[in-house]
Amino acid sequence: MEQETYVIKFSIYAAVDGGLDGLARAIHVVRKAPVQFHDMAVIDSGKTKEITLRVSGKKKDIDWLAKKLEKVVEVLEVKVQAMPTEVSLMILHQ
Amino acid sequence: MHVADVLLESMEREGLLTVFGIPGSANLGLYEKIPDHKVNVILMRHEQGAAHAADAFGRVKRNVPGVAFATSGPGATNLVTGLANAYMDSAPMIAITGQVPMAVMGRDAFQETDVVGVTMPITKHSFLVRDPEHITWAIRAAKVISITNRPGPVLVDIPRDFWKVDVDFYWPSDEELLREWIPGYDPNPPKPSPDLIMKAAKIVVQAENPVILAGGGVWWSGATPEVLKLAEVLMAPIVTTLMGKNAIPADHPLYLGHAGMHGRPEANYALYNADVVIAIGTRFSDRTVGNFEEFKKGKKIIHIDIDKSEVGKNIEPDVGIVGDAREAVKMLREYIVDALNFKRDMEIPLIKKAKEFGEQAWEVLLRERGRGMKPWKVLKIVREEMPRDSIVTTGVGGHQMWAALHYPVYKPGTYLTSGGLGTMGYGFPAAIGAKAAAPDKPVLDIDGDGSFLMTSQNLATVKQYNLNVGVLIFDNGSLQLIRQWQDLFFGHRRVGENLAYLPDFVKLANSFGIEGVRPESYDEMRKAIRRVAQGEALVIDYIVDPDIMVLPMIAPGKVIAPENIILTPEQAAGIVV
Ligand SMILES: Cc1ncc(C[n+]2csc(CCOP(=O)(O)OP(=O)(O)O)c2C)c(N)n1
Repeated sequence: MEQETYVIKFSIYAAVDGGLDGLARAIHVVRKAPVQFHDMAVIDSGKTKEITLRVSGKKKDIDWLAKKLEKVVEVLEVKVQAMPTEVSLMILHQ
Repeated sequence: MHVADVLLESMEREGLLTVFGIPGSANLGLYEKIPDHKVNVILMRHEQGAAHAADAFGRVKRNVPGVAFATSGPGATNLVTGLANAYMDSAPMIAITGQVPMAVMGRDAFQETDVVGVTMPITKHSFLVRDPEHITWAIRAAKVISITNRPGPVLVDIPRDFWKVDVDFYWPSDEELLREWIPGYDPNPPKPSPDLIMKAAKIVVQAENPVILAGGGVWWSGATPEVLKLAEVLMAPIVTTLMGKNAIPADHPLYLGHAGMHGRPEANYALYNADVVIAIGTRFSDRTVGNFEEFKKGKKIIHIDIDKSEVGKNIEPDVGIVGDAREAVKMLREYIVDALNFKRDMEIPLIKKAKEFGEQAWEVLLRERGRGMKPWKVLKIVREEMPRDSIVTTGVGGHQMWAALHYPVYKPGTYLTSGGLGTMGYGFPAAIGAKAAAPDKPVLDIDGDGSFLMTSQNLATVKQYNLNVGVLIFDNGSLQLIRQWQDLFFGHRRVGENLAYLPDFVKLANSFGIEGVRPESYDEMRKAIRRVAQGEALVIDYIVDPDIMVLPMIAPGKVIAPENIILTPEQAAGIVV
């Protein structure tokens, strides 16, 4: 199956503890997923932290990772978007 | 009110009245206040035991997690195996650990460990309480998270400088808790999709040989009656995973036993030869089906699970239904009976074939072999003597597989074994936790000599609190299951399996003030088990021949096909794992 690059966006509830524990929990989930990790951006948005994660892998594994992320208690919402092929190839070749 | 009182008051309000633990400097401020509250603390002799006891307490109670207290540093790290065990078997428990003071956190203070960091991947959730005002919130959240949806362990870490801080007691409402503290968590199980249930129902009614595979989730959701009703409508057999053994009464006429690596041959035969498998509350462990791709061939899979990340994880189902097992199975049956007008009167043909296959296999398996009392005969005595609702726990190893094969469970919720993590040492503290949860029921730990040694120091706890449990030790002087793997798959090279210099288990028990016996005949064994059935604390040292291999077995990585079932050691020759 094709490896493709995806953007996974999710928010972490940060009002209680600043969100670092939730972020660490999410990273533990990503570490164990059968995907290739590219990069991650975290933006402070007051009560939440907004995370953008770029990973490559099979669609099935990416979806599974998204479901696992949704299980993290601090995680509020998870969205998966496929990257346009050109961008995705650029990342894979970097 | 002092934070310590706030914590204990919160525990009382949440019904968390039984705690297993060991004090230390980081939680002495908490212990100081215990006499003022209804919370009852049982002193274990190692924190691993405290975690296993709390896990077992939660398994028995289901809606009330067991609680473990530990101090910071080594106390907290000693909980790690127990937390991982509870996590793998989805058992609800709460660990409350003391932490070094906020002011020195992160500076390698005496007995500092970042236990929240250490346990992140092996807990359902954890909190480091950073504000003394947060205690009530954290305890409320820990309870709800541990018992709802797919249950699991939650850890709450509290800096020790908080214990004497004065705060106002504030009890958040359910709504506030969910909105302000854990908005990402939905305690309600997802609703099963009616469309998917209908799709599954249509597949099921067209199946000639459907088989139900019940996992541990059936117990957690209280789905046993629904699963039985579904089986009766379909006249289809039920097989279970190792964890599912705890969920289905073994004397139900449609029950064929547990499947898997050491599964009953009739159960593996049926599961492998099914044309449709209705898997309920199971994560399709490799120990259950052996090889995912080969297992899937030629069959349709309907997978019902409360955890959406389990559906499609190991096996891609034809229909994956996310929801609470009880609700989903009820809907499935109603669609089958009411919408599709389907009900079978006669057992599906696969049952007869599976039973015939099983009979032939058992004829070989139960041939006299080895010296001394045979495990299957001893376990038959255990079942005959222990009341139907007694609780049995196990260690991990050959004895655990013997128990799975030959100890039928009649009452759901009465069989506690470490399935996912396979933790030696689980059985004995789990028996203590189970006894605390169900003081009126006889409790027996079926253990290995190696497993028992890992947590046997808790014999003192049994005596101290009159938590009378029995221990049946399969004393074979060996890590028998390891020896068996070495004999079968690793060139007969026995390395590191010989348990030389074992203690005399009778004397060991006596030294803790507990009686011990070493039966020499089946008759003496029966008398000993009867004493446990009557509620005595008793260690039974059952001398068993280490060369009696626990069979049947399927080599790791091989699918549970009938031709892969090893009935005699000779059949394993040449298998490479
Ligand atoms: C804590 C832990 N360490 C190691 C193992 C690997 N292991 C699996 S079975 C087994 C042997 C268990 O021996 P014992 O408890 O005496 O049971 P027996 O097989 O002899 O019945 C071992 C070492 C394990 N499951 N758990």
